[in-house]
Amino acid sequence: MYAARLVRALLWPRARMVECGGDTTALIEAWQGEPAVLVVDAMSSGAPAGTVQRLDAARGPLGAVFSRGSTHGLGLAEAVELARSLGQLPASFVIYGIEGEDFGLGTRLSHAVECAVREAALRISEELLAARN
Amino acid sequence: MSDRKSRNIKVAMLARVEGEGGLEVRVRNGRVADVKFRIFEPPRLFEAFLRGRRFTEAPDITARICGICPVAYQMSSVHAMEAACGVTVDGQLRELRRLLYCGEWIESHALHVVMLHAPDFLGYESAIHMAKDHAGQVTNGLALKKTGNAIVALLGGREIHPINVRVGGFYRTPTKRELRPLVEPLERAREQALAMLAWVKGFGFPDFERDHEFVALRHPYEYPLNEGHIVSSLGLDIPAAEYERHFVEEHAQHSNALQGAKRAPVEGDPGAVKSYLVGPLARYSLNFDRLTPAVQQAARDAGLGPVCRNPFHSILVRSVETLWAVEEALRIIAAYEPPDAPAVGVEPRAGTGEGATEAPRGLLVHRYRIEADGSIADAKIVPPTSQNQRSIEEDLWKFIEPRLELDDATLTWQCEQAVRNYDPCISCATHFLKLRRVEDQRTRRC
Repeated sequence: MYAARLVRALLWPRARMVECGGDTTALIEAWQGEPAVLVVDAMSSGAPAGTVQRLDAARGPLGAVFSRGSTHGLGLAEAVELARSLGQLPASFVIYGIEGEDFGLGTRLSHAVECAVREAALRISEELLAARN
Repeated sequence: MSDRKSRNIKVAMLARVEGEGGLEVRVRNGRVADVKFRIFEPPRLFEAFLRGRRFTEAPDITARICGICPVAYQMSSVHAMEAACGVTVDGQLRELRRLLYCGEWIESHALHVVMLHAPDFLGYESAIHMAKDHAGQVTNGLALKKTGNAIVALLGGREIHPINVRVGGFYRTPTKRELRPLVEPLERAREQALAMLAWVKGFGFPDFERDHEFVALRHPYEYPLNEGHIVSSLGLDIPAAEYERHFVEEHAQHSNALQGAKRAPVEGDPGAVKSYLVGPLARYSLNFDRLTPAVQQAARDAGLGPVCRNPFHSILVRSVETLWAVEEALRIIAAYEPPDAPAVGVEPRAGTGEGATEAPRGLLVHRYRIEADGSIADAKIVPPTSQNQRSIEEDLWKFIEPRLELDDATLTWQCEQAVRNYDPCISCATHFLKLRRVEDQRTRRC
């Protein structure tokens, strides 16, 4: 969310931004009719904290790094695959994942993650600008 | 700061009841000799770190116990705190609490019915696989969930871990105009709930019944959410304050999970206990007459009677309850008049209070002892998952017995389906259940 807000506030005010606080199934409806969607999310893949990964979800199934594996809500991977099954995945669907460091309640962003947020925001903005042109 | 880069911090014990379940079946001479259902549950960290916190913090802290039923934890906690402080919340604030709970029931039940349980009945590995062939029903279920989420977001401040609930009421109550946008989606939700019920009615259900002792809330005139006595199908009828006189939680040696049990002393064994069942089947069977006539008829049309003892029919009952919750939400909104204040004043006093409400998965009991200064001295939280574990184990034993001729893969599938009858918190991900069949002296692993 920090990355998305940074992109919206500083670099790309006109893009339609949707924040999702937990129920990723709501995203499926949010991206209805959109030709291109870019999602930024935290991930826990075992990579060093602050790693930024770009995944082209339109090309094929996502891995487990975005899967929450919980009955309490679908993870982003499940929501994407569900949309794919329903024929509701946009033609262009890119995910930027930022490797987290501490997922404890109430903790602030670590230095590594804060740097990664800025990096992700810049890369997302560049991608959006390139797509616009 | 530089050494933090190489640190690995692991949380060995998570404070939620969810995760992998293990099942071990012991067969002797072609008969089931033992069934052990293991759940990994950590120590009740919430009960511990509530101590010393202010009584007003309980709804916000306990909401974090669950991501899909935070309202249930908030409701049980505020009712318990208000009981301790000698306060009753009534009128429109009470109605708003019911409306909030309806939102949670709708989204929780829809998620479970469509995304978690239906794939079992239709032979799909997951809802994602099922969606290709049942896109309309999955979309229908997602729409229901969205409507439930909208109610929770409006009244609770956000969909997950609401922030607008407080001891005494709410921080802010809506105007009539603010509630109005919920009406149209709820009217569609009524049709969506009927469609969901019509869909699940056509599933194949194993012929399996159990003579559980049902336990649920019962209210003088309402289908229960926040209030009522705790009753059972064997005649128990007690206020929430007497819960611990009749029910216990025990640590079973073969599992890290606490198991709820009902005291059942007999001659020679004053400490004897027995299993009981909470949740939709119990609630429905003990309160069928509290459903509206239209919902009762919908239940009958789906093949249900006033009492339901087949755990596999829980998907039908959840669908019926979804319909009821939609109608109840519409009723509350139609009659709503904004209260004079968003909350009643609650002054702390030394004492103990209990709160029992009906989470989507069943009876949820909180008990707090607070000091005169409002600090929490002691807390006890008994989720429906804990209370149902004995029944789950017993049910699995009886379910497996006549099905031993099945191959391991088929038996595992059916056992997972049987577990999902009771509680989605346990059946989290694909292949959550590792069936280990021990036959005589040989062990075959699945």
